[in-house]
Parts: sequence; structure tokens; C-alpha cells
Amino acid sequence: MSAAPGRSQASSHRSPQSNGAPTSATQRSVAVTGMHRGENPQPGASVVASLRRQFPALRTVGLSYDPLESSLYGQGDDHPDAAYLIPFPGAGARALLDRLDMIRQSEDIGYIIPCLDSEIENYLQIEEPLKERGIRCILPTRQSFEDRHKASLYDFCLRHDIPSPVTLIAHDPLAVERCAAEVGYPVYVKGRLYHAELVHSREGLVAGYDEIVQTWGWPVMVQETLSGEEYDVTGVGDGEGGIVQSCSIRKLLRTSHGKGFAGIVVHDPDMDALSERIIRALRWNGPFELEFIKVPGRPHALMEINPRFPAWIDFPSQIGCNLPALLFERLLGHAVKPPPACRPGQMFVRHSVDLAGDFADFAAMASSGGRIFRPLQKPEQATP
Amino acid sequence: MNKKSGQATDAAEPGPTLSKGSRRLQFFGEEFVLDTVSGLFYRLTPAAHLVLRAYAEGVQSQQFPGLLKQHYGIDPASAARDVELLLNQMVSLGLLDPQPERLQEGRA
Repeated sequence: MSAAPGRSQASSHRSPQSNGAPTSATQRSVAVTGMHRGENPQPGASVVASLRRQFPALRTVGLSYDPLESSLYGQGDDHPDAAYLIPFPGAGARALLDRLDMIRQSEDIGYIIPCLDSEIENYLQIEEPLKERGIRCILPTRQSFEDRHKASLYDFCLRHDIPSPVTLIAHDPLAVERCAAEVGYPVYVKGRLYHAELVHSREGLVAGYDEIVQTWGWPVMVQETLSGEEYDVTGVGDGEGGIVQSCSIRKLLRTSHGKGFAGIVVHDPDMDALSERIIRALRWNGPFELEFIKVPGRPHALMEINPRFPAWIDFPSQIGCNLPALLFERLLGHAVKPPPACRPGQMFVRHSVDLAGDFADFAAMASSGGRIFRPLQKPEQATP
Repeated sequence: MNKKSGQATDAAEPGPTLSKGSRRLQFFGEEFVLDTVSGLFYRLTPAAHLVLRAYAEGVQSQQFPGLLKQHYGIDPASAARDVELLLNQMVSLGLLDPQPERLQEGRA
């Protein structure tokens, strides 16, 4: 197995478990964030499960914000081998890097797959320092990351003639009112990173944006409401304008927050062509999720671009299109062969389960900031 | 024909046709069909299944009334009317393309 590009700078890095001897690329851990599969599931646990399907011996490390993140409990394939608490993204890039340096004293992290929108900014800031430490990430460029930002997306779509709902940016309460009147009720009021509220009238406007502003601050987006079928496309961009592979679904079931709870694979040449055009315009590097709404009689409208895998990413992996494994092959520096495309008609339904634990598990994580579920193997024990 | 997904229905549009892919429609027994482009699925009546399956297999639409007449023993006028209603509904759902040939038949 060849070493990953960029490792040369890190060749002097020594794994604490290998008595100073450098470990091979496959023995190094991959760290994944977004490990909570709660009401609004995060993608990390699905990414871990997908990686395990193709690399059963790979050591996975969960980077968590809370000891109650659900995939730290249970023993399924989505359970990481170790987990460590990290500071919330708001603490900044320096705090994240310091914490990763602490974690590196006990884990030989070679790769990180960030799975939450709010983290990408920090990882972009520490991409070089991570490289110097021999840790690889596959991230979009700052330009492409910012172009897909909720506040920039409408302009990006206008520039590239991509159908999308009218979206105006409001920096204060008066502007929200003005934007909503201009867009026309009902409107969606959206937070900078997360959270959207449907507002039907001027009277409901304050209630609509108040909580969003308290949590995420200004500005808020005021968006035209589109009603139709919802489609998601997830894939991996090659950074040169191409899509290595992707999977498209229609949401069959939606939660009250609009999250897909079931989906079915579709093959729509029009949506595929539009997705290719979007990724080409962004020259997107790494995982992405495009969200579309198809209003009857109109082309697919781009609603959001998420800079990460979606929470349902283990579904295509289960049917032969393992996109996290593809990403990991790229992290290893291998020539990537795209997995087969998903066959239309295959579907998933999300299933919530209760994982048993002991308060000792929670207490151990909360007090020490980390938990080892599977001890590190010595190099001679590791599967090559 | 009852729509099972409980979601909004696509209107007929220029462009989306079976010619997008000959395997656009996937049949599941005689009761369900999946439109693999839109991801919408439908529960079919036996007559709808007969006609849609024939269409997917390349049978000309002029032959549909004869198929219904042969299968259900109904009179030609009823068969022609049922086929017309069925095709219009399928076009409105986006399952079939509004072929000029068929539109002309519809106006006749």
C-alpha cells in the first residue's frame, strides 16, 4: 500500500504505539466527526460503518462534542474504536488543533473526515498545520466552500444559470420584513448554517427569526417557498470539476424538520447533468450533498449544497456504492476506481433503536475526554 | 390509478419521456410501477397495467383499445374511451410523453 501524498512532510512522525517506528498508511487511524444519530442524525456514524465495510481492520476514532453522542454507545458497525471530546467549532481553529495534538499523544491519526457543516471553516484554517503533522483531509477550496454558503448560493446560482429559489439576505429586523415582502409570503427564514422556519405572514416573522438569530446570529436568509418532490444527490468531487461517483435519491419520508427518513434511488439524466454543472462550476473537492426541490413543470431547483456526506451515506455503501471508502482511497493516495452506480428502485428506511449503556460510560467520557473501545493493536497484530 | 407516495404529482412537461431510457418504468408484479427518473411510484389497476406494460414494450398506442377489448371483452367504443382517459392521466403524471400522434388521436 503506497503512502499518501503529503506524507513526506510527516515521515518523521512517530506513532506512540509503535515505539517510534512509522506505521503504514492502513494502520493509521481515521478520525470522523458528527457521531450523533439522534433526532437530526449526523453523518459520522454512517461514514464509520461504510469505511468498515471495505476496510474492516481500519481503526476509527470518533471526534465528539458531547459524551451523549449516540454512536459512542452500542456495538454496531458504526461504533468507533475510540472517541475523544473536541471543542465546539465556535472555539476556533487553534483550539481544535491544540486538542488534536493532545489526542495524537494516544492515537496515530492519519486522516480526518469532517462531517458537519460548521466544522469545515476550522479545518480549512488548519489544513496546512495538519499536513505538517502528517494528517490528511480532503477539503474544498475556500472559494468553492464560500460559494456554496447559504448566504452566497443564490448569487452563485444566478451567475451559473442554475435554478434556485429567490433568496435575500437580511442583516436586521427591518431588512427581514422588507425581504419577506419582496419575496412574498409564505417565506422560509433560514439561519446562517442551520435551522429554517416557515413564516406565513408578517405577524409571524419575529417568532420565525428570533430563535434563529439567538442561536446563529445575523444575517438570516429569507427564501422563496417551493413546493414539490425533494431530491438529494451525494457524491465525491475530484477537485478538478468532475464527480468521481454519486448517488441520487428522492426522499420518501421526511421528518418534521424536513430531513429524509426514507429514500429511493432515482436515475434522472436532467438532475445528473445539473449536478455535474454545479460541481464543475465549483471545482468541488471531496464529499458533497446537493439538495433539490422539483416543482411540477419546472426544472430541479438547487436548495442547498452541504460540504460533507449526508447522514444516509451508508445506504449507497450497503448496495455497492461506497463513497466514504472511495474518499478514503483518495486520502491514501491511491488511484481511485469509481464504485458502480446505485440501481434505481433500491431504497432505505431509517430505523431508530435504543442502545443500552451504563452511566459509567458517560462519566468516563465526560471526565477524561476520551474512551478507548478497542485497544490499539501492536503493528505486528494489525491486519496489513 | 392511485398515487401511493402521497406527494405532489409532476405535471406533463415537454422533454421527460420514456425515450429518456427504455427502462424508465420498472414494474413490480401487476400492481406497482416505479418511475425511475422521478422516483414516484403508482399502484395500477389491471387495465392500467396492461396498457402501460404494452407501451413500455413498444406496442403502438392505436393498438391499446384492441388489447383492452381482447382482454376484458368490452365494446370498442368503451375500450377507446378508457384508453384515452388512461393515456391522458399517464401523460399528466409525467409517465408518458405527449406524442403528437396521440394528441391528434385525443382531439379526434
